Amino acid sequence: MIQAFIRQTFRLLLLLAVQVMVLNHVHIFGYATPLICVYFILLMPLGAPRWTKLLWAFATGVLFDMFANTPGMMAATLTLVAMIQPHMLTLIGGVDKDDDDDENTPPTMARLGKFPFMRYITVGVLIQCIVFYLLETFSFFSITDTLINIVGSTVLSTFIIWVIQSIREKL
Amino acid sequence: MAALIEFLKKYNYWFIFILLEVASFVLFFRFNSYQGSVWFTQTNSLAAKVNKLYTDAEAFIHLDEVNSKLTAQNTMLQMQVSQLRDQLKDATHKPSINDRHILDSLSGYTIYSARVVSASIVKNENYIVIDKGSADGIKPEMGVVGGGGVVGIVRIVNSHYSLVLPIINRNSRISCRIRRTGYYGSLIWDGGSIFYANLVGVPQYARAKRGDAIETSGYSTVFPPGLFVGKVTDIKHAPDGLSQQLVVNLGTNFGNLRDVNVFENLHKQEIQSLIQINDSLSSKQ
Repeated sequence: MIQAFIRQTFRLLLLLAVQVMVLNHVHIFGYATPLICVYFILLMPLGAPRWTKLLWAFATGVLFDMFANTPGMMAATLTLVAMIQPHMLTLIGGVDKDDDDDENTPPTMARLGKFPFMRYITVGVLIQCIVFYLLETFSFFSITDTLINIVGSTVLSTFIIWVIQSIREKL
Repeated sequence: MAALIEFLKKYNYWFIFILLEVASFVLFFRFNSYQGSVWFTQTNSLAAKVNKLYTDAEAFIHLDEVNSKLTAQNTMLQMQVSQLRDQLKDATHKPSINDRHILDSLSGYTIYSARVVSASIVKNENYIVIDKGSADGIKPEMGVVGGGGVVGIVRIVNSHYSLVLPIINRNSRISCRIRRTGYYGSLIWDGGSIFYANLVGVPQYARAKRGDAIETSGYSTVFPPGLFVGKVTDIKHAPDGLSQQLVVNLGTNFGNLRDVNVFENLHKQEIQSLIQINDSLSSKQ
C-alpha cells in the first residue's frame, strides 16, 4: 500500500519534472505546448477508488500551476479529467468492468490494443487541452488562436505520451 | 438514515470532486488578475441584477403594508390638521363680552369640547348627538353649551357618543333667570320656531323688559349660573294670571351648531348629597 503510494509519488514527480523543466518551454510556432500531466491520471487503473484519483489529480494540477504560474487552471482541468476518466476508460478504451485483471491494473497498449489505447489517450488529452486553454484565455475573443493552441497541444502531447508509453512497454 | 449514509458512501467522490473544483476556481480567480477581473465585473453586474429583482419583488410584496401605514399616517395627519385648525380658530377668535362673561363663570366646572355629529331641528322632539361619550368622561345630566349660549342637557351616553336633549325639545326644562333683576323661571319650548322659547313661571312683579338678557340660574347642578341663553323679545301674561310668560330669542342657532362644550359640575356630588339629606330629614318628620 505504502509502497504503491511512494511509487506513485515518484512517478508523479518525475512526470512533473519533465513537464515543467522541458515541455513548458516548448512553444512550436508560438502555439503548441505539450501538456502531459494528464498522462499520470489516464494511467490509473479502473478499479482504484475515485476519490484517490481526484485527490491525485488535484495535487498534480496544483503542483503544475505552481511552476507554470497558472493558479487553479490545471488543478480544475485535471480534477475534471479524473472525474470522467473511468467513463472514458470503459466507453473509449474498451475496458471491461467485470474483468478483475482489467479493473486493477493500469491500462496499457498491450492490454487494450494499440488503437483503443491511443484513442483513449487522445480523447483524454483533448479534453485536458480544451478545458485548460479555455480557462487560460477565458474569453472567446481570439477563438481561432485558442483552437490552434488546443489542436497543436493535443497532437504534440499525444505524440509525446505515445513515445513514452511505447518506450516503457518495450523495456 | 442508513440509506442516507449508504448514499453518501457510494457517491463520496462527487463531494470531493465539487470541493476540489471549487478550490481550483478559488485559486483561479484569486490569483489570476485577468480572470479575476472578468469574474469580478461579471458577477458584480449579475449580482446587481439579481439584487434589483429581489428588491423589486420585496417592494411589491410589502405594498400592502406600506399602504396601510400610509393610510394610518394620513388619518393621523388629518386629525392633526383639524386639531390645529380648531386651535387657530380659537386663537384668532376675538371673544365678545358675552363669551368673556361665560368664561368668567366657569370656575368649578370641567369643560369637555365636543362636536355635533347629528342633529334634528324640524321635529317637536329634537335631539343632538355629540362625538364624546363615557370614554371621554361624559355623563348624563351634564350641561351642553355652544358658542351662542346654552344648548341643552346630556341625556343618554354610550362609550363614544352622547345624546343631548336640546332646549328645542318639548321635554326640555331649564331653570333660567333674568340677568338684570334675578327673577327666575323655567325655559320650555312648545314646538314651532327653533329661534324662540318661552320662560314661564316668572312672577308678575319681575318687571321684565324687552331686550333683557336671560341666563342660567345655577339653581340646578347642570349649568353654572350666568350662562347666556337668549334675549326677551315679547312679554305675555300667563293664562293663570299670576305669572308672566317671556318669549326668548335663543342665543344658540341650532341650524348651524357645530362645536359645543360639555360642562361637568365638580361639586355636583356634594350638592346632591345635601339635597338627599334634606329629603330624608323631611320624610322622617
